[in-house]
Amino acid sequence: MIDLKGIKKIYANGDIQVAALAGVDLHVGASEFVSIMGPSGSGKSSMMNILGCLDTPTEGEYFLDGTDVAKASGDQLSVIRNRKIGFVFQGFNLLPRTTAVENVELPMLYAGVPSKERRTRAIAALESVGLGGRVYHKPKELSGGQQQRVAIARALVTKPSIILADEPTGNLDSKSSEEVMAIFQRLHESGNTIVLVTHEPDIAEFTERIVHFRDGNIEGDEKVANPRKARAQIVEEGVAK
Amino acid sequence: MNFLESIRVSLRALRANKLRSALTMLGMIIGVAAVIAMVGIGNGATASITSQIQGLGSNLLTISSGQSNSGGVRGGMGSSDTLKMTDVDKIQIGTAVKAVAPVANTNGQVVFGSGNTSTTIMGTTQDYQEIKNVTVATGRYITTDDVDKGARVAVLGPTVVTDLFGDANASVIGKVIKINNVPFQVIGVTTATGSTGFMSSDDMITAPISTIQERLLGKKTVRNILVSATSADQMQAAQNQITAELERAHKIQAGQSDDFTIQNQADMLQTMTGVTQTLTMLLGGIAGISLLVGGIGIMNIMLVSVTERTREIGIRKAIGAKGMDIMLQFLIEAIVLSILGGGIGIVLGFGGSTLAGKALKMSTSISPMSVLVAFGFSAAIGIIFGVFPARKAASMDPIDALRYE
Repeated sequence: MIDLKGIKKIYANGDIQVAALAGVDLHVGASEFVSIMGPSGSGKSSMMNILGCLDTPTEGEYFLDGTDVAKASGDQLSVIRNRKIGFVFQGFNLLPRTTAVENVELPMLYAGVPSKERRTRAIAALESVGLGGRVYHKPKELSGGQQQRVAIARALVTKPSIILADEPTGNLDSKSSEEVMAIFQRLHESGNTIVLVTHEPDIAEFTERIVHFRDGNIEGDEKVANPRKARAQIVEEGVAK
Repeated sequence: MNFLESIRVSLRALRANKLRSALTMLGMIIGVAAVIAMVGIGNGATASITSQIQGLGSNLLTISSGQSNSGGVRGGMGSSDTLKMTDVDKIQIGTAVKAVAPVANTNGQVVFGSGNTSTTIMGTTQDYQEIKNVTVATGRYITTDDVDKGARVAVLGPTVVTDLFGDANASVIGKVIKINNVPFQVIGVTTATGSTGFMSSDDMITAPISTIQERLLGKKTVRNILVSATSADQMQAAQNQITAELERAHKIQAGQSDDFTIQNQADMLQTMTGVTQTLTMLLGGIAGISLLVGGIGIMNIMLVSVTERTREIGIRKAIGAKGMDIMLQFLIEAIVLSILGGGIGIVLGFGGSTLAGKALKMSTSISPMSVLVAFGFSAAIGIIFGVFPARKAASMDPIDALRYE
C-alpha cells in the first residue's frame, strides 16, 4: 500500500541545509491502523506532508498503490490526493459559510462526479459518521467534534486508499476525541488504511502500530498488543429532517 | 471539474460577500455607463448639428465679401464690402445654379405700441424663400415687386411676433411697426422652424433688400449672396461657375487672390461633424479611463480576496483541486463582476443619456456598436485584471496555504 524508500527532505535556508527527514524507510500495509508519534521537530509533519502528497521528497522513492509518486508535478499530485488520499486536519479545515453536505461534496466536485450522485454519497457519508441530522448545517453551527466528523466524512467519501489524520483530536475535548477515535476504529474495522499523526500517547494507544520519529529518523516501530477500544457510542445527532 | 461547476462555485463566493461584490461592480458600472452616455450624447449632438445645417437650405452655397488685403493687413471674411447688387445679376441661372438671393442684414430695435424687441433685420429678395425653404404661416412673403419699389414691408418670424405683440397668435397683418424708427407694414409671418439661438430663422424680420439698404444701412452693400445649386452633384460646378463669373466682374487677374469667399454647405457640415466627432471621442476616452480604473478596482479586490481566502485555496488544493480549477474559480469571479457591472452600466448609460437628452433638449442616439464595445471591453477588463490574482491563487503551495492564519 505505502512503501517509502530512503526518503529525504532537505530544506535550504540560505546556506544552512536542514534535513527534516534523513532517509526514512517505511511500509504501511493495506487496512493497517498506524500512528506516527514524535516531539515537534522530529520530522513527523514533513512525513505527513509527503505521505499526503502535499509535498515531494528531495530524495527517495514513494510508492503509493504501486506507483511512484515522488517525482509527480503539482497538478498530478492534486489528482493523486483527490483519488487516493483522504485528509483529516487538526483545525478541521472546512469551508466556512458552506453547509456540511457541500463540504463533503467538495472532493467529488473536483473528481467530476455528477451532482446528483455527489449529494447521495455525501449524505450517506455524513450518516455513517452519525451526522444524518446535521446535513444542512454550516460549520459555525456545529460543535468541534461534529465539525471533525464532517471532515472525516469528507475524507472517506471518495473511498481513498489511505486516510491521513494530522492531530485529529488536537482541538477537541476528551469526550469528542474518543468519539472521533471510535469512528476511526470502525473505519479501520471495515478495511480502511489509516495513518494518524499525534503527540498524545493515549490517542496513539487506540491504533495498532506506533511509529516513533526523532530527528528525522524512525526511532522505533512497535505493534500495540492490545489497542484501547474507544468506548464512545456514536450517537445519532439530531433528527433527520 | 467542469466549467459550469466553476461558475457555480464562483457565484456562491460572490453571493457570500454581497456588499463587496456590489462596490467592486460600481467601478465598472460607472465606467460603462459613462462611456455609453457620453458617446450617446456626442452622437446626438452630431446628429442635431447635421440636421441644423441641412435645415439651412439644401445644396446651399454662401458667397461672402472679403478678404480685404490693404497695406499688408489681411482682414477676415466679410471684412470689406466687395459684393454688390450688380454681382447678383452676373450669376447665371442655368444647369448648375437654381436660384440666387442677396442678403444684407443689420440689427434693429423694433417697436409696436408698447412692445419692443431687438432682432436681426434681414434684407433679401423673393428667391430667398425658395433657397431656404421658408414657408409662410399667414400673409405673404416679399415679392420682386416689393424689392423693385423699395416697399416698407416686413415678414416677421414667430418669435418676433411673440416678443412684440405678446401673443404668438396675434393678428398682425397690416399692422405698422417701427424698425429703428422707420415704419414698416407687416405683410406676413413665417412658420416656426424650431431653430433657436444665434441666427435663428424664427427670431428675424425679413424685408426687401432695397428698403434695408436705403432706409437702415444707408449703403448699397451686400453681406452675402446665397446660391442654391440644382442638385448636390452640381455644387462643385456651381461653385466653379460663380467663381469665374465674379472674378470677371471684379476684374481679378490670374494669380491675384479673390475678394470673395464661397462657402460650401457640405464643407461646413463636414467641418462641424468633424468637431463633434472629435468631442465624442474625447468624452468617450475620458469615460474609458474610468472604465480602466474600474478594472483596476476589480483587480485590487480580487487580490485582497485571494489573500483572504488563502486557507480556502489550501483546503481545495489539498482535497484535489488543480491549479486550473482554482484559477478558473477566481477568473470567473472577476469576469462575472465586470460583465454584471458592464450590463448594469449599459442600462444606466441608456437612462443617463436619455435623461441628459431630455434636460438639454437634444436627441441622443445610442449605437448598438457602443453597447457592444462597452460590453466587450468590460469582459476583456475582467479577464485582463482577473488573470493576475487568479494566477496568484492557482500557484499557491497547499502546505503554506493550509498553514495560513
